[in-house]
Amino acid sequence: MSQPQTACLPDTAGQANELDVSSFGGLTGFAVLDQNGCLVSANARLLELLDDRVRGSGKLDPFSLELHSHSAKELADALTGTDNANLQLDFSNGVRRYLQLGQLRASRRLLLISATHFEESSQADPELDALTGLGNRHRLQQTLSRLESDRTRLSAPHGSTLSNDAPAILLVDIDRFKQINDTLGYRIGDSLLKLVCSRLRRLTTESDPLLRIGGDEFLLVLHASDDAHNAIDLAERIVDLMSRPFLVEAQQLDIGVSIGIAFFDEQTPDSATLLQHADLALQQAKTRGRRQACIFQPSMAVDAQRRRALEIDMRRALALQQFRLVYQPQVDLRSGRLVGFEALLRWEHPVRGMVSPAEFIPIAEDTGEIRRIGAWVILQACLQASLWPDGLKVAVNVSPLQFDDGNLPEHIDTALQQSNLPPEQLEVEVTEGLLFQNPDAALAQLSRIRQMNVDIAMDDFGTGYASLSHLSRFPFTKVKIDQSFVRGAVDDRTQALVSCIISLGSSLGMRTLAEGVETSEQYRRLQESGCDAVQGYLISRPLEAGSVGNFVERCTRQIQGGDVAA
Amino acid sequence: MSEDLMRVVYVSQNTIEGDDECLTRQIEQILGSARRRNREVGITGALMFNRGLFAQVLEGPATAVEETFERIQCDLRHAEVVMVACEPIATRSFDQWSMAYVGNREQVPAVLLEMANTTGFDAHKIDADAVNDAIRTLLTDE
Repeated sequence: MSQPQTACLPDTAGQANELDVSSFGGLTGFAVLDQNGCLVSANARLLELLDDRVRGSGKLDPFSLELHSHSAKELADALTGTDNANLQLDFSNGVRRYLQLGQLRASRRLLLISATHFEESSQADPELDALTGLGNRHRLQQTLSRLESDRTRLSAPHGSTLSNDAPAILLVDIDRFKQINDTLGYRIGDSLLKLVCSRLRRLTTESDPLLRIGGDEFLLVLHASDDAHNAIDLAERIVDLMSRPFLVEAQQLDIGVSIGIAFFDEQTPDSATLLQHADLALQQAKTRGRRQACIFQPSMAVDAQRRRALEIDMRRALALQQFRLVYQPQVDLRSGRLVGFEALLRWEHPVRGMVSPAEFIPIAEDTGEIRRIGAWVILQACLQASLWPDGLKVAVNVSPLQFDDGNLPEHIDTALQQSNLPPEQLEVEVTEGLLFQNPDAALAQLSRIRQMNVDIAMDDFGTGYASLSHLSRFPFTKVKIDQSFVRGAVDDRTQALVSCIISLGSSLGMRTLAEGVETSEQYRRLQESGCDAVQGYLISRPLEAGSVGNFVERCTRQIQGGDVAA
Repeated sequence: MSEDLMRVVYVSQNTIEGDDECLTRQIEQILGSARRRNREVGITGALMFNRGLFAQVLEGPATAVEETFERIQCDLRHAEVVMVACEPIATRSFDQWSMAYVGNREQVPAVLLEMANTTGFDAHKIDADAVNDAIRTLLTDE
């Protein structure tokens, strides 16, 4: 709109060798300033970008530019100082301009003004995250190498660095970020990330490198001057600040962060290990329930290594036929008859020996290996049960993860067909966890399984969060009372609870089975309470597949004389 | 200027340590900078401080409220921030005040008194409108 013309500027540009920017074209406004902020020369674009506010005075006066006070103050500071500056100017009318101030010789300064952010208009730096302006994963290596060389330099003369003044890194991970992105969209997710970044920056100093190394993961480096307490205090402040609500596009967002802290001490050979340590500490913080910081401990590395080795062994176990099923008998409390067996998974490793399911099942669930193992268990149990005398049931435990692909009913159907086992002789046991992770998908699949005439038992009832509404909503045919209500000293309250579960089950048309029965006293009490069936060491320990036949025969003989357990 | 108006009401716990004088000084500082900034960005509202609790109402254009709220969030002079309202409004309740203040005083509205006396500080139970109205009532009494 304004004509390209030379501004009415104070005539101080008379000296030779003065840089004259008045003829500069393009979208950037240029000016040369003297030490008083007077414009020695300027191009037309500059006057245009400043809405001609400097034309009259020929001076860049922060307080007559109609800037917001924070911008005016920043500009005044930049002009008073001698450093190069990079500012954002907010005008009262809502217009925003970007300004760069650089030093020329002879107390002249070069001023650049642009309507767009300078970083955006120039070539994007591949090591900078476009959203937050922080260094990204590409800068990680450089940051870590610097940390390493700093350490070599600092520790050389003294020989040793005390661990409490070693550099530290903080790995900060946003809890539940994916949920926000998924439910509210990327735009809100991005705005949130920017706010997270600015909160992080608020608590740290510019000299502490801060990188965004993953979608929702930040890395902060604290140099050697910080002692351990500083790192921990800082981490706690970060956790506190990030737990406070965020407001984005008129919506309240609640997140939190988990933090792993690792110190670059003598025991840490290199920066790659340091990063691993921080990651292990971060995992620990998440395992402990998130919204907290954990410091790396050497035991975490030992555990992780052990777990990794176990993971590798477990992936091979199926092919090497190290898994087998054992069978724990279940007995009807009224007739005393053997009614079936629960199939239990055993892993016998040639070097480790027996590995407890409590140890390997969580890892199998974590790695997804549980799907292959679970499918094998279903088929194996069906094949073996098909060899048993008619009417004996086999109960198979199914992990919530086996419901993930939606094909569990088909897997079960295939196993039944391959084994020729009548469906009514199969029972699927699920835990309460299933009802919470994806209840709708679980309900749909359980209903299909039930339609196939396969029984469905709720395992470990009473130990988790399953409520009465779950019992009535899902097609359970049996409730298994957890052994914690059966074993040991049973007080009146526990006994009342057990009676309650039993009558609840029967009024909903479900059978009840109590686990962990070890004494005839417990057997008798459950019998009196109206429980339908029991399993436990009193009846028998789990049996190898090859011993089931004998056991069944023995039971048939005994039953002619009375109860199995009597 | 036609940006939609919104309102945020939150309560939080005071973490300022020190004697009354120190506290008063800090609150004056908070109010001073709040009023200056709020005028510039078109925010109005009220701050109430009593028995260790802050309650604040911020109203104005959404973007300005968001920016202001974010700045307040990062202030370590309070903690346990609980947002009791975050909603669009048609009109302002405090259009005369860039940041009205109701400080330590004898006459405390029942809703806030209850809030301060409740052990465990369950701010989730607090009704935003009640806070809003309670502060307004005090202001018009003045």
